Amino acid sequence: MMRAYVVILPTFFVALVLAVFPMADLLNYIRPEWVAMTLIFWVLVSPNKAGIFLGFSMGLLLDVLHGDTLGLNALSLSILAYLCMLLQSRMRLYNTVQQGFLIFVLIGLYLLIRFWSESIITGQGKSALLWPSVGSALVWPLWYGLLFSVRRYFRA
Amino acid sequence: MLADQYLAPIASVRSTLGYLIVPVQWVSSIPGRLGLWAEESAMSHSSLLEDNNRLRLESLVLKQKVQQMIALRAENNRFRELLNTSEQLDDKILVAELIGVDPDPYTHHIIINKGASHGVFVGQPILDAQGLMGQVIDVLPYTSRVLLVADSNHAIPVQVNRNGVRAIAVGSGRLDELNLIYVPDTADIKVGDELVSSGLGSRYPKGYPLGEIIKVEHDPGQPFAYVKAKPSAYLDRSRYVLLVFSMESELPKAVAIQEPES
Repeated sequence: MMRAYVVILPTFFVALVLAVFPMADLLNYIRPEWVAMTLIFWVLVSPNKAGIFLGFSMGLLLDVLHGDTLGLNALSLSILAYLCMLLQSRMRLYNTVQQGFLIFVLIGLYLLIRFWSESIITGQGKSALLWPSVGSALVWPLWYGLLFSVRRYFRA
Repeated sequence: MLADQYLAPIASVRSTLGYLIVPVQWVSSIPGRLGLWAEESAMSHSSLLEDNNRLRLESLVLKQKVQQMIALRAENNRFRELLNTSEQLDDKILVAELIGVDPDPYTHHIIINKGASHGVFVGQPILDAQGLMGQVIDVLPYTSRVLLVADSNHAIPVQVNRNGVRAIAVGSGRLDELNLIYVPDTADIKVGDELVSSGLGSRYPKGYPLGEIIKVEHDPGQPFAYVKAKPSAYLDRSRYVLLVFSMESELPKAVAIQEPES
C-alpha cells in the first residue's frame, strides 16, 4: 500500500514542476493541466489508492503554488477525481486517443468548475478553458504512456 | 475557500504548505539558473575586465552623487521640519532575486526568493533600478509572489513630476503599457511627462519613478482624456529587485490637505 504512494507522489511532484515550468509565451496558452492529468491517470489505473482525498491534497499544493485562493483547485480536483471514479470502468476500455477526447471534456469541466468558484469567491476568474483542455488532450497519450511504463517498472 | 477569504488562521496553513512547495519552485527554476551560470562562466576575460572598469567608473560617479545627497538630504529634512512634516526620505532596502514568473498568460506575477523569514510582508513595494515594479501579494516562508504594476488588477496613485497633477495608473495587462484613468480633459499632462508615485493610499512610498507618458488623446465623445504611460522599470528583464521597507508610510500632508480635483 505504502509502496504505491512512493511512486504516486513523485509523479505528482513532476506534474507540479511542469505546472510552473517557464515556457515560451505561445505555449503558455495551451499549457496542459499536468496535475489534473496525473490525478486522472492514477484514479484510472488504481482507483482504490488514488481518489478524492489525493485530489484534494494535490489541489491544496497547486493552490499555494499558483497563489490562488486556498481550496480553489482542491475543490475542483476533488470533483474531478469523483467524476473519474464514476467514469473509470468505461474509460479503461477506450484506447488512448479515445481517452484523449474524454480528457478534453474532463479537463474542460475541471477548468469550468474552477472558473465558476473563483468568480463567485473573488469576483473574477481565469476564463481560459478551451486551449488548456486542447493541450491536455493532445499530451494525454504521451503522458499516459509515460506514467504507465513508470507504474509497470516500479510495479506500483 | 470562504475560510481563506475571511479567516486569519488559514494563513498559517498556507505558509506550512509553502514549505512543501519549496522544492517544486527550486526545480522549476533550474533551467533559468543554468542559463545564467553558463552565460557567466562562458564570458571572456576581456569582457569581464571591461565590465569591471565600467562598474568602477559607475561606482565613482554614484559615490560623488551620494556625497551631494547627504548635504541635500540634510537640507531637505531642515525644510521639512520648517513645514512641520515628519516624513523621512530614507527607506530600508533588501535585494531579492527573481526566481520565477507565473505561467498564467493572463496575469503578471513574479516569484522572488525572499519570503516571510526575511521579513517580507503583504503589500510591500518592489522596485528595480529604474522604477517601481509592483507589490507583494502573497508571502510564503522562503519565496513571495509579486503583482506587477502592469497587471490589469493593479492600480497605483501617481502624480506628474513636473506639476504634481494626480492620477491613477492602472495596469493594462501588457508589460509595456499603463493607463491613466479619470484624467480630466483639462489636466496639464503632456507626452514625455515623468510619473512618480504620490504616496496616497499609503501603500507605495512617495516619490519613486513609475513611468513616462507616451500618449495623450482628447476625444470629445469621452468624459475623460485617454492617457497612456510606459513603465520605467524593466518589468520583463530585471533579475534583481529591491524590496522597500518604508518605516513612515504616512500620507504626505501637504497633498492630503488640498481639495481633490473635480
